[in-house]
Amino acid sequence: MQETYNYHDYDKMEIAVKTAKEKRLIEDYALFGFKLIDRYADKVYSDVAHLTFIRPHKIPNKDKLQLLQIYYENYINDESELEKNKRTKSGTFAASALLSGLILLCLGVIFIFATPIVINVIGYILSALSVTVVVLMLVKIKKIIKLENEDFIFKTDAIKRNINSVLKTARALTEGEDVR
Amino acid sequence: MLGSKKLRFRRKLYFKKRSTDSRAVRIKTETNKAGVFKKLSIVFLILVQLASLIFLYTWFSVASKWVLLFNFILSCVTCVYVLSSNKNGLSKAVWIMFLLVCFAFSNLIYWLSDERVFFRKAKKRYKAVYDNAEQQYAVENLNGGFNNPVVESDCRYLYSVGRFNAYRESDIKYYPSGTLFFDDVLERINNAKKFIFIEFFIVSDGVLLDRFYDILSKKISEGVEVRLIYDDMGSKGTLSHRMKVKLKKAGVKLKAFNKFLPLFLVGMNYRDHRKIISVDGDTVYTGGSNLADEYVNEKRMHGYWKDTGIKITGKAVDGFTLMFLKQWEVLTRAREDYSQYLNLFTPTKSTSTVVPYADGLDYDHPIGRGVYEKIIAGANKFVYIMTPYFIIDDGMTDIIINKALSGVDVRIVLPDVPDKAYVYSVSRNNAEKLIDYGVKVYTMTNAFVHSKIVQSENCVSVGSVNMDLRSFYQQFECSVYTDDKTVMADVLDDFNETFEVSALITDKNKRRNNVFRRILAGFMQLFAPFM
Repeated sequence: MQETYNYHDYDKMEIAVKTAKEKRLIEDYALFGFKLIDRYADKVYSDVAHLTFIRPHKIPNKDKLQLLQIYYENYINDESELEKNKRTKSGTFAASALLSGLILLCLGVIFIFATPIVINVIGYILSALSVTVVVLMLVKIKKIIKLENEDFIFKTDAIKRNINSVLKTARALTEGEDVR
Repeated sequence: MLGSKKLRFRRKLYFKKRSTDSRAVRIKTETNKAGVFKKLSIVFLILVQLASLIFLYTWFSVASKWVLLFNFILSCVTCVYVLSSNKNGLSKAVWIMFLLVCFAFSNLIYWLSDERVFFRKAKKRYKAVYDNAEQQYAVENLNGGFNNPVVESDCRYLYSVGRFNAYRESDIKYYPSGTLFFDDVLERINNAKKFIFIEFFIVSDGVLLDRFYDILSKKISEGVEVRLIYDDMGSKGTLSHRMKVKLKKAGVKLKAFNKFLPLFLVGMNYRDHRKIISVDGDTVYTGGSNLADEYVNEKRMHGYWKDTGIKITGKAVDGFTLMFLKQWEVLTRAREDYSQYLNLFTPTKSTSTVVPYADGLDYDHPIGRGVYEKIIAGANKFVYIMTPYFIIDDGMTDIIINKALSGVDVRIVLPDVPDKAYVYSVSRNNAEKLIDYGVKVYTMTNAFVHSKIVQSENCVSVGSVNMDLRSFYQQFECSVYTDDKTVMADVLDDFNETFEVSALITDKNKRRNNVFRRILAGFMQLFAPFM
């Protein structure tokens, strides 16, 4: 139930969040001085919730907090973007390889059942090639996944460090410290 | 049984899908779609009129080879007229190219756009008001007592071009954000006793205006006079009719500057870009911020909104109050006695020089451009510029380049997040060209820089004047020029903090490195005089 608020004394902020990160966001926004006053689920999307926060209008270092908040939100969204695209390379590679293998196999089978012997031979070669493609893909994909994992860990670690730094600064500013 | 049937009937199966948006958090920003539609409709109607005029005139021109020849000769004559005009070099080049290439219809468009033809009456009205103001309120300009010859020269220039007095005994304070600025404004107007004069380019519905409304209506009930000037185009689609009625009912004297009509008229291009709040004749606020939520970062648009403000108390207050009163008189066509609103300040002990100055079509000389030029030209150690747009003419470009080549530390801060992509592409292109000459160009990360500041080791100018041709030649502007040490230190701190959170554009990450972007920016330069 949304509390009423006096806009002279409080600032209001309404956001749409992914439910998987909801709890974390509520805790983090508290470091910027925000208090949750309302929540409701999105009517269309199962993984989205709408949150309403308020914050005292006059708080120390408000302009610096506003800038930090934007950095924080960008980092959080970058993290989500990374999580979403974690397997893009390997997925694309696997799909392409499987599709190529399937096409080769289909062609191979069609040629095997054709009349001229030469075409039969080509059909067997194509079928063998399709199996080879799939096997090579399985070998290569392991390497790609390994590289993807390393890249993901490297980037998310960097983002996590940035987020922690921003939150640490935000906590200090909210408490009225002069952070330079 | 009935109960369970009812339950089955009421139970609904929701198959909600998962969101495809990868963002974990999204700030919900309300956009006034009706307002945007209104603005776009007017622009569309103007373009339709322009297209119709071009079509009809061209059809008439090509009907006969003699008419076409006459048009060509007229174009050549108009080119000579343009060359002799006071327009800036870039404008002249664009107009001449247009006149010669599109001679079938270009004359019509040019003469409909010439302010010497269509702004004459308004200029006469302004002159009458200004002459009257000179008689009613004549203050002797400072004569001597300057420690810095550069500042003295700048003050002499401002007095010479616009009769802008240099004041002492004035305190001045700098705000590095719209949030801090408006908090102080609201506190001050809450203590107003006599009058509150407000002038903004954009006045927008939202929580900031609601705060203003509550305080203003309370003050009006206590007998305080409240006047508000807003630019009709700037506030179109943001200041609702409902809010205008509400303000008028509360007793606010409301005036729209230059009603934005769906007509192709040159006058529609001239806007009031000033930001002035004068309270009781003893406190004045100015700067880059407009009266809208995004300026205090309570509405998310284009990342973090970086803006600035200035508060003046003491003698210099009258400079801005007078600016407002003159504009009010032009709009209302009602002469009044200014003396009841002037000389109400308490002089302070400050010995700093403070010069409130204005710019607009009421002056023959582009004053805002002149002040910036003088500040840059007078610098020997550093020049720092913060501006949302960077569309300047060759003269200004040459001065900046020469300063950088002379070893002066020249830095420009632009937004990282643009508000208008086409203007931004030209601004970035212009700024990046200067990198080759040693100018450092920064973009403030995840922010839209709306501040308009030019500072050197001698002085600083903070106000509403963008570093673009619109501000220099087409808009009514206001700013304050000062050599106050505290303000200069605060502005310098703000610049240094901004550099730390900005990205430096280098040769490697220039957008100009992309050929297509360079071509596009070059094409957009054709419209630079109108941006």
